[in-house]
Amino acid sequence: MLPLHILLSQIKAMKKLMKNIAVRFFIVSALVLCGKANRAQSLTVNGSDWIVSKNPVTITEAGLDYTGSYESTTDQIKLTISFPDLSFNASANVNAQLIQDPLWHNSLSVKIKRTGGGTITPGACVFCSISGGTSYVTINTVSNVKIFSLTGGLAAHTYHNIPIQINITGVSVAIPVANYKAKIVFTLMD
Amino acid sequence: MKYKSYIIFLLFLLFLEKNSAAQNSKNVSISFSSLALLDIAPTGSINLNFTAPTEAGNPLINPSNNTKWINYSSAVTVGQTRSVTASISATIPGVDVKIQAAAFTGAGGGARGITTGLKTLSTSPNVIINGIGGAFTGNGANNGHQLTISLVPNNYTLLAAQNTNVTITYTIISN
Repeated sequence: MLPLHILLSQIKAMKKLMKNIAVRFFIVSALVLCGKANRAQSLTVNGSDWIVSKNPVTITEAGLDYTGSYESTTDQIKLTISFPDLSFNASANVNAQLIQDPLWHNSLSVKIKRTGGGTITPGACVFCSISGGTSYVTINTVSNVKIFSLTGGLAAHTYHNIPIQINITGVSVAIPVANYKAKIVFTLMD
Repeated sequence: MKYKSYIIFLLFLLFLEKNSAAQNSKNVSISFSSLALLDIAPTGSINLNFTAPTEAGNPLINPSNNTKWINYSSAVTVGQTRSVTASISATIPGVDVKIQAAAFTGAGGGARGITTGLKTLSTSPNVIINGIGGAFTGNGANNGHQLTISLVPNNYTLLAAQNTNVTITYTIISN
């Protein structure tokens, strides 16, 4: 049996050691997490704004409504997405939402689709994949909508110029005469 | 307490890491211009002939025709409306030319107009439909507003046997 005062000092030393371990664990965890947050995946939107030509539709017969849909070029928007480090099995979703800027009409339906996979650098990316979004997806002003997904590979890599095409339907003479503009906001979510 | 704070801070960092999001955007824009188109379907003239009474002392039997339809397409700014007016090229002595546009029917959509009821036409424009907003009626007969055009004697002393050609002009106007 140890004398009580020795036992107490050993308990004290043990507590101090535990505290040191906890503090070190905290510091290391914080550094790792801060580092990871700083090295998050990134999204860049290139290409150009899409302006549907003034008065896009012509009616030659009284009584008729505007008809048809309007399509941008197949690579109107180009997305570049970077995975900064080892991201094997990590996935990211590319979402989109329409934000009126300053005026939009909800009868106008905007759809977007991915018309290709872009290019990946460095060249051979093991386990990298891109999926979904090759058919038109309707986006709206209320919520983010998932367009497609990416899966990370064994090393840092970047998907360059993933082409996006835009489609507008719902044009009608019943929509008030005005200039309508909205932002298509892309969000990359882990 | 200290450990609790550390754990909350770590969880916060973990949340940041797990929910990191990158955002960026491009614009899409489309413009619509003002539009006003109107026509009458089917095309062609109509003949209206008074029928002589078969009983002495009775009035002439008034002719009418309801084969014509007004079609229109209208695009307007917010709050703007349009009307349809009708006028005749010349008056007929002793005879009123009357017209009534019915409520819209058939295909179409938007803020279609409202009939103003039976109108006696003159050489000045008379509103026969108003309150047209952004709207389309559909094309051709049985779409839009059916027109009933009739002749009514207004002064028998001025009546004379005659053939008179009268042109009715329809105009869609902005209010």
